[in-house]
Amino acid sequence: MKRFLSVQSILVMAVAIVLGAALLYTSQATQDADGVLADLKSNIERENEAIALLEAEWAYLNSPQRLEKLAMEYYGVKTPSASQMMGDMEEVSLPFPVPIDPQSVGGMQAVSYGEVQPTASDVAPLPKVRPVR
Amino acid sequence: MSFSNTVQRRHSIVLAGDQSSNFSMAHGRLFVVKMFFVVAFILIVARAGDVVVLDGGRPNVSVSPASNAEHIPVARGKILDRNGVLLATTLKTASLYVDPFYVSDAMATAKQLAAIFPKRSYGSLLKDLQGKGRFVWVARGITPEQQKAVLMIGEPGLQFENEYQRFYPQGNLAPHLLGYTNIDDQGIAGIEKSFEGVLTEGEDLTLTIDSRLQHILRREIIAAADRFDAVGGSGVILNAKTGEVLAGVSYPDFKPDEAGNAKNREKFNALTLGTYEFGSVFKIFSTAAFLEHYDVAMSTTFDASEPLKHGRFTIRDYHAENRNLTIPEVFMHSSNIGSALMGQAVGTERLKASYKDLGLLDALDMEVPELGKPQVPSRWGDLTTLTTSYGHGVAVTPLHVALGVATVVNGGMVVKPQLVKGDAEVERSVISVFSPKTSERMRSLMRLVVTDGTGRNADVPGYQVGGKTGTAEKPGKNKKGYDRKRLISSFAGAFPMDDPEYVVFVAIDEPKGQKESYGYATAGWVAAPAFKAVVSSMASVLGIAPRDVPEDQEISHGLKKFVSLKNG
Repeated sequence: MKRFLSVQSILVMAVAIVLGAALLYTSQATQDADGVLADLKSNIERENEAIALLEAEWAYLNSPQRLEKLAMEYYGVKTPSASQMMGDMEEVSLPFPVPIDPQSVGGMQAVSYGEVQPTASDVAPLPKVRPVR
Repeated sequence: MSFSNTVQRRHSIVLAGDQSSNFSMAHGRLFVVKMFFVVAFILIVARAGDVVVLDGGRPNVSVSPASNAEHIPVARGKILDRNGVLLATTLKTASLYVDPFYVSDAMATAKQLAAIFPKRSYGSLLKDLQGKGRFVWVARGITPEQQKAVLMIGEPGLQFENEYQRFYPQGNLAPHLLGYTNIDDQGIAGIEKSFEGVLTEGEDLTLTIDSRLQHILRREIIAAADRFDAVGGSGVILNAKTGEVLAGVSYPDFKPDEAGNAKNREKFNALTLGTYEFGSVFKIFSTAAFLEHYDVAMSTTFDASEPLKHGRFTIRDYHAENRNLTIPEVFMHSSNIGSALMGQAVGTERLKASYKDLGLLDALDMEVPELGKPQVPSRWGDLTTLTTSYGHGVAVTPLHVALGVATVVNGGMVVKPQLVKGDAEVERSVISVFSPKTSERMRSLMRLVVTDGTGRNADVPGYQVGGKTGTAEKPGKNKKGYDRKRLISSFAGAFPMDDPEYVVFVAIDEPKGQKESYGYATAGWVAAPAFKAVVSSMASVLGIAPRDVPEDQEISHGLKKFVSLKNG
């Protein structure tokens, strides 16, 4: 007695159905991944553009011409000259240098300058005089 | 089961037994196939509905990124200094155009646009807005604030397109070397032009320039030019051993972002394109040639007691001593007569060969396209040999002089200019023009100029600077003779003189004497202090510690016994 469908046919069909389902699933997953990829790519491009913009702004704000002008205007700081250069820390003469802890700053000699102790504040002290324009 | 019954009923008359069962099985299989197609069709319809109705708004993502990538041009590469400081970059900016077809209220829109873009007038905007075309640029490379303001107008005819725009964050720091681009992002001068290929491919370029040194050099050249009411100036800082250009300035200058508005005078590259007769700084080269060919004692004297006559031409000394001068005296007092006699002793052919070896007679081999060819007399006679010994008759660019000085002081090895920094360390040159002995003697002579000679205003204590002043008269405006009022004052120097690391050259174009310089506009008063200021600031930026050398250990000390210091 022959069967209506042979075991072989059933198996082949089952495999075909499973493969078809898997193919459909894979193609859907690929499309989703493509979508995610495209989103990521456009995000990366946006980020890169933002980075380029920030880099340009950073370079502009830190240009030596600008910094020099601002330093002179708000802090009254002049450009250093060779006569201020010292070859050796020992040559630096400061009022009442009192060594506090030689090992405190990465092996560098830390010195306290009398009353003017550096504070632990993160905020730089404001200049006491108004900038002279 | 009614279906199978029908089948059986329909065929029961004809068939029976094995055949009947075979037949019904065939029908059964056909039914399965039929059902398969029905289900497949339903699936296709369902999927079609899904694609059209549910998924229809989404673009076909698997195709679009790839096809877009081909259309978006790569952003032009950045230009960085040797420490990675941004000198030129490309930013995406919006450009505004108008499609007059969609403009509803041209007059009101033009009025609002004129308020946003001060450079455009109401009339010209109105003309653009009511035109017949479909595309007119209104403003290119606008700021985000302007874009927002335009969007607030709400005019459908105003549309944006993203464009790349070149941006130079450092302004007029080094415009002549960097160059600039036109509105279509093509390099049309400087590095931007000569490296158009790699830059358009999006590759970044790193220059040998140090923006800090560049700023210092520019600041001091402008300060000197202002102080002496000069028409301009130029200068360069070189690595004495490798020829790397650490800073190069041509002044007056311009902002590359606004190159279109710059005057030709400002755009002119006086550093690598302009050629000038620099006068006495050339004595560095003629004296070196003399010492190379004549291994004589420094006490050798030259008769500078009276002006030197050659045919109808007379060579005089500016700082006339009117006596016999030793080699150190000739150099430190900058005696034209003495140098001319040295040139005469070297001879036309050998002097010319030395200049040629130093690269002074050929255009520079360098990365920028603006390169000046030295002006050399077509007929080089004996008189030319005399005059070129003190720097007249041959016109070269400022960079030529600096490179020549680097070669003289670094032990005699030829250096080539380098503006683009490669990945590898720059290899030292192995082509020797002068012997180490000549180089050392030249260094001691150059140090003597600063300790006791015309360049005393250039001394920076602790840094052993040395150099040579040069005050040259510019050729007369009618191309005949020289104009005594129009000078080029320059100082070519290096430091530290015992083993020079840096060569600095400063030239000021047409300085006028000031009260503070007692009316002098000569190099010792104009260029030497500028050189001093440059070296002084360089030391702190580069972190070079001063080194006190006792006077008797100075490189120039041995020469002092050949110098009569009666004039101080």
